[in-house]
Amino acid sequence: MKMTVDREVTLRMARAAQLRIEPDQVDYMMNSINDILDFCALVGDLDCAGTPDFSWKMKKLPDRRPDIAHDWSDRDEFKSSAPAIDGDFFRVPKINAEE
Amino acid sequence: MEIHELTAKETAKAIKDKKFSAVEAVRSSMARISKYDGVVNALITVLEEDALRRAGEIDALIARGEDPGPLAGVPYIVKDNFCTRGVRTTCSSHILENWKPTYNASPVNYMNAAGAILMAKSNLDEFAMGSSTENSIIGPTKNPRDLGRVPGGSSGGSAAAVASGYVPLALGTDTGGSVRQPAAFCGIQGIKPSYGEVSRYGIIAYCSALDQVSPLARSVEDLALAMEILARPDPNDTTCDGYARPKFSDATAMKDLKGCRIGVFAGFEASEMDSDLYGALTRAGDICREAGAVIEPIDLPIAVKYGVATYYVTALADASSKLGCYDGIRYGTHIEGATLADMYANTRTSSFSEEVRRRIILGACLLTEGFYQNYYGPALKVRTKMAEEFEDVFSKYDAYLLPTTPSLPYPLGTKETDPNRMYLGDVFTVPISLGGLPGLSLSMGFNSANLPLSVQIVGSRYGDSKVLGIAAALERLIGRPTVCDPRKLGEVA
Repeated sequence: MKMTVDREVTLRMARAAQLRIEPDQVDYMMNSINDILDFCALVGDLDCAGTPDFSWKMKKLPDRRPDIAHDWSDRDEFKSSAPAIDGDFFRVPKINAEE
Repeated sequence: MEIHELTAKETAKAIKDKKFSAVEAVRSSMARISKYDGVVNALITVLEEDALRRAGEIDALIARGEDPGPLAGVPYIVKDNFCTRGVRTTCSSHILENWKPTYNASPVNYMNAAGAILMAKSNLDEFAMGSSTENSIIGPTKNPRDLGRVPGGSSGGSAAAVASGYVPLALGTDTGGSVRQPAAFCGIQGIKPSYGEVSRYGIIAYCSALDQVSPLARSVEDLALAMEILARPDPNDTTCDGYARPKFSDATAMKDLKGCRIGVFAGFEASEMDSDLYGALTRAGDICREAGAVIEPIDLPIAVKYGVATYYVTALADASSKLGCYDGIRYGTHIEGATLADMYANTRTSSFSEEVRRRIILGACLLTEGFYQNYYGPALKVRTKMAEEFEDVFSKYDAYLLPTTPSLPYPLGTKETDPNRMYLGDVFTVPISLGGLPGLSLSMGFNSANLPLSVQIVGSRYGDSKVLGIAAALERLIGRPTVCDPRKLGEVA
């Protein structure tokens, strides 16, 4: 069944994706999403009654890594790629500005 | 023949035979890059110093009588979505523009262990989302066969680098055609292996359900050699199959196509695509027949009608989820905000391009109640139907031919305002990705305007050897692609 998004849904989806849409861009984004939704609704046209969901088949399952603790000796290297570090932690802003 | 004109296999042999050194091979590569990349813009990062140091080590090994591996001293390039330890890995995005990974992607480790030398990291559409390599923080890459045109994408930098003779071999990633289409547009060879053949560990994901590491080269033999090095089980990637791979190079010894049954795709009107590309498909079928194959027309009604829509539903939902990890906290760009939510939104909105943001928002939408039931769920079932259609074809045929693209490389800056039309450029590549099948884009020479022609050879899942064998037999009859000095058509090179 073909579906569309309105301005409110477009903005809600952007918030869910941690993105902001400038007020003068909402209609543009909404329309381009609706164009693609309109085209992609085709997937509902094929009769797939009784058809299972797709899943990949493998010839042989890969070997698992040994279930042992790693020595993360490169911890400092990981930390060095973070924008801001506070001791052993990634620094994050307050959840609420008032806190 | 000059060093930059040799294939990877020829280069490694010459270095091992001490006809020239690995240092000379790297210097030759650097000379091409210095001469042409100011115009072609295929590369984001060039690693001259590291490459020369590594070349010295390779030469020292050879001098001591040791074997550095099947790609001894061969310069290669990877798309800038492969993690490289200590080397900037941008994905052509502001969100990763200064990020240096702490580890190598498995395919990079495999290539290095085989003696290959990483020369540079190549341009791509941001996060591999695109088909023209124009949507990048460093600007567009130009097609070396005609500098006024796009090289295809998203692995356009890797394809342009191989066609321009920077290196004989490069790696890209192919999700819905991102190696096959640029190979076709730049007049070289490129194979997307079967899903599960090559590890994706350390590859920055666009759509893990479809992404495949894929080599580009100027000969099918080099593609087979690369496959031999890249395709192996990897405990770091659970989607990488654990089976023992065949020796892919053996397949390219195929002298003729006697006994092969090959389908030629006929499920479209000739008027729906470029007439020269249609002619190339017909010609490829004729050559296969002359080489002894049985040729019959085939149709793929489900794949062609539903492929693109199914692909976008699958890929965008996956992308939305994968790109959720860029939060500005652990690595990558960080833009301050008063609250955590503001910081996320500031960082992500400013650092992703409009195309990437549109795909993320749409993908988020496809995974919500209602949209999931009407789009994502049906797409999963259509994929099963498509896989059944492919299985039926491969119960009768060894392989089939179809176009790689419906159009020739188009002029830079062509703004397709209708996203549906833009995405339809992938109509012949995405079904192959959805089926997890191997697809090889083979150069078929040039049209009267000197633009590259191509055909796609598709095999059954894990039938990569057969595809390489048929491609090698065809290449011997057609001739393999040569290096070009980048130029604008109409100008003297």
